[in-house]
Amino acid sequence: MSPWQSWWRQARREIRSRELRPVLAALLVAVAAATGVLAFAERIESALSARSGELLGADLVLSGRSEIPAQFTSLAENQGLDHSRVVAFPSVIFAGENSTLVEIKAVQADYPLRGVLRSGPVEGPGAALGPPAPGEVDLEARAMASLGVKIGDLIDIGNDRLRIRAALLEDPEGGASFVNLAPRALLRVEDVERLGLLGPGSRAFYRLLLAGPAPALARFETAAEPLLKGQRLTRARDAEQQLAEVGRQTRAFFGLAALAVLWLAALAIALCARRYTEARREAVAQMRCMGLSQRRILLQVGGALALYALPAALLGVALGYALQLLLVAGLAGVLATELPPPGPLPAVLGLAVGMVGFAGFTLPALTSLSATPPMALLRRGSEQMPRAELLAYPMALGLLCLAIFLLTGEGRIGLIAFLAFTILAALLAAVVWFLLGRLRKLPLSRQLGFAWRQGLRGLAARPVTTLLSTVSLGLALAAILLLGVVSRDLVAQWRIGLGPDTPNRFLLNIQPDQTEALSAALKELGVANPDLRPFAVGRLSAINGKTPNPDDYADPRAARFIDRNQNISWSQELPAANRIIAGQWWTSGPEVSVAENWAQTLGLKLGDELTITVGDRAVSARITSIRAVDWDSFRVNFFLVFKPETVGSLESTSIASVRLDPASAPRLNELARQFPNVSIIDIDSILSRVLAIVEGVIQSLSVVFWCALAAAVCVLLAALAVSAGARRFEAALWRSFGASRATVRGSLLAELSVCGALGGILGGTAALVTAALLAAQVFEIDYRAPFWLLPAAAALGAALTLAAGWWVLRGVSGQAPAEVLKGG
Amino acid sequence: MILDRVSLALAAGRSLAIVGASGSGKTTLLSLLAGLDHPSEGRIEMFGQALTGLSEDQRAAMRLGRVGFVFQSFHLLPNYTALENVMAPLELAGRDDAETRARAALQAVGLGERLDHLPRQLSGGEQQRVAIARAFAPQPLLLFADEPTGNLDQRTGAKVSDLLFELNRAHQTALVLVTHDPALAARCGEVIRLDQGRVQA
Repeated sequence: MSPWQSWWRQARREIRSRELRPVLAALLVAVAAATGVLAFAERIESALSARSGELLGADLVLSGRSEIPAQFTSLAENQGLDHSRVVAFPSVIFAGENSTLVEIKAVQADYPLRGVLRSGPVEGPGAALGPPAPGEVDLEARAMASLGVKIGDLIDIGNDRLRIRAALLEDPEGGASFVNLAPRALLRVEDVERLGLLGPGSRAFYRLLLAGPAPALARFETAAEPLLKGQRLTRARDAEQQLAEVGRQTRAFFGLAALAVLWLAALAIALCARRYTEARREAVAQMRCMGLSQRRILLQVGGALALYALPAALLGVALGYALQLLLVAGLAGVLATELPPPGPLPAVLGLAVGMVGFAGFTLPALTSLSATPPMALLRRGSEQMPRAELLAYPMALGLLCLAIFLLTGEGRIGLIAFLAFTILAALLAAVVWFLLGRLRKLPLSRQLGFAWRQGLRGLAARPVTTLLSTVSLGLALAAILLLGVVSRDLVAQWRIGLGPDTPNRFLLNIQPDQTEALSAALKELGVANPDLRPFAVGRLSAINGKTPNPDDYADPRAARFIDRNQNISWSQELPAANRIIAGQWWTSGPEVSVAENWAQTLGLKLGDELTITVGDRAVSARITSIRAVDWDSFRVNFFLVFKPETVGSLESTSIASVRLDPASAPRLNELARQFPNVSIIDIDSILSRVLAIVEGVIQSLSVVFWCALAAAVCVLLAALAVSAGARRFEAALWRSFGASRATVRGSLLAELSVCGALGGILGGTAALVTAALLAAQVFEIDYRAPFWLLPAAAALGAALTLAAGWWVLRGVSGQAPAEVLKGG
Repeated sequence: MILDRVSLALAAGRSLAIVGASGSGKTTLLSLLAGLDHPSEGRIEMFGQALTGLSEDQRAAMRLGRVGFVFQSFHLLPNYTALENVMAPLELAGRDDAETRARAALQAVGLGERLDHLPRQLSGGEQQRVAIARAFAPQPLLLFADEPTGNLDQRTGAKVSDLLFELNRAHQTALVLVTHDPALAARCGEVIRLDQGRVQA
């Protein structure tokens, strides 16, 4: 017989073997999860890269929080570069009684310099119509829907009206807001001033788009860099890299979640492989006696297994493609763009993850099997680990790393996450081990009845089965409950806990001469004390007289504080929601008070001198107090608050946070018309939008963790299958003592349901403990734990375990008692 | 056909040895007598009641608390201590004094000091003594032993069979023994020899 024939014959025999069922199931789940996550990540990545080429609408962008000085424009002209100005800021637009917050993007006629701007009817591909003419606006369909308007209608904006020219379909800069918060409105820069939308010092994003030949761009960069004051230069290449990074992170993030599935599936596979080889050791010893080489046996048995596994893996790939639809569905309402369909690569990678992992986890057992010495026939139980098996472990580890890398695109972090998962499992295992030890010593009351007593004893008597089942169920359920129930509950409680006085509207860009009129108007709306705070934008130019260098700080946030503009405010009184934790509020001399985390990041202490440059004025002050800020308060808070005398008169605007009765919200429209330059931001709706995004990610991740639960069930199946032989024998023994079928079944059901319930409680407790930690450390709320979770998780665990038991242990209780006289 | 025209009767407190070559049908006869299996034809009575026609569960109920077994490979529950193993049939029968009785039974076989040992921590002879304690603890009317000394060396085997007969006398338990060992068979009140499923004269 040729090796191929015997290989094929072996494979056909394996199909009938029951103990391989959990392996198949585990492989299927692992490949499905891997393929699903990879396909999902690929779709995100290709959607991002489709946009990245024309991301900026330019080759180079100079951006800042204040008007770009004219010197840069003339510098661009000197180099012969095309240039175009863009201003972006949030604003509220109206149509009749309806209003909506939009992101206004005001452009010049030549926008964009690179990439495509498409607009047209709401449905359809649209065309490159260019920016609207003055007096017109292009609106995203979302905004039109919430205003109840159509193309050709007029909308109120600032102190005039604009006609809707078309629906805004694709904007080169859209990629920057891959996940977008507010719909965009495109209009002409010329209209901004006419409509009175921005006053001096208003908060907006200003951009100067530049395009031209590479040498000219390079010369511009060299000339512009020394002149930058709070502005940033972004090259198209940088933007592409940023997007690629987002794609990579998506894959790593979801890949790491899918590692949980791989971990559990691996456990199931390794368990079954060991059982499988134990059952075949004698047959292999015979083959060795007959003169078959180790290699030949390894190839034959391994090859047969692979042949058997391949269809399961292929089915997993198909399932994975269905799964990615669920993953995308979770985020459907959040993504600002259509995702391209997935390509074939995830299928190949998913299959590779599955088969490489499968090889890795069966290899040690198979090597040990093929190395069974012929002597094993004569001397049973001579359990010396063959050298070949020792060599198999590093190889298996290598294959595991490869599988992790294929899945997450991350070698090191993936391995760390895998190990972390192992440690977590070991922790849960220790808890179960302790409980089982206790259970063994517990005198079981006779009131419990035979089935329960026997079931509980069986739990302790088969610690490995119990351990594997409860820990894997516990891990998977913990992830699902934490994500699906507890996190939502936490967010809901946090939101309720915000209290009735929490501000729900921000008013931006209030001009100094408007503060009184605006306060009066707000009073009429029922806002007694609007919290109005003046602020200016400046840069941290010196600490104790020295220019700070971001490279000197370990914390990457330091660079943000140093390179970017900082909002500064000034106040005579300590603002609400602030607490002094060191130093004193205003004493003498030029003073500044710094927020705790800002001071920590930059390593600042009381007495240090800070210099902030606002426009062409430098303000220096000593740190005389450090504040703890309750950022949850939804009040306007600042890292840097100066004593008013220290800053003197600066070009500034004010920002107000107010709590508005929902009933008087429509009357805010009048206020917005009266003060067209003031942007009114609805925090409630932004918060809802942010929470919708979080919810979308939770939903997508939940899909992955349901796969982890399926993998946990595979471990359950494997652990129960391993115990099946012993259980069958024990059932026969009990029946020989005179136990009825119902009695044996009863104790089995009791054992399985307690085992599953224990796993459920373990998972539920892990989720609740994590929630309590999150509540205390992150949300800082008094958490009312949903304790109903524990019985629910216990019931779910018990149901899953009973179902798994039904599948692999069916017929055990009906074992003919005469079996006890056979074998042994 | 495995067994053919086998006819025997055993009174309370008496002992019977079934001997014969491998494959002669000894074990099959034992499992039929104990009601572990049912014959394709013929009649078996236990405690004056016919086993024929009873379901497996009904036959199990007949054994409950009244029949004990000692097996060649001991067949202890591997994850239960010696005490728990002896308690198992007592608890199954719903005896309130399961633990006291089990302790006494282990004491009687000389294992009073090894109550908390697992089977794998015990020698073969000790394991078989636990099995004997387990079989006698419920004070059965009838005890079946399948090659009770088959897996033990000669000396240990002799000790175990002494114990078996001692308890048989003390409890007035009827004993059915399957064995290869002529010495063991000779200690029984009656001996039947099977050859290819038939009783030899």
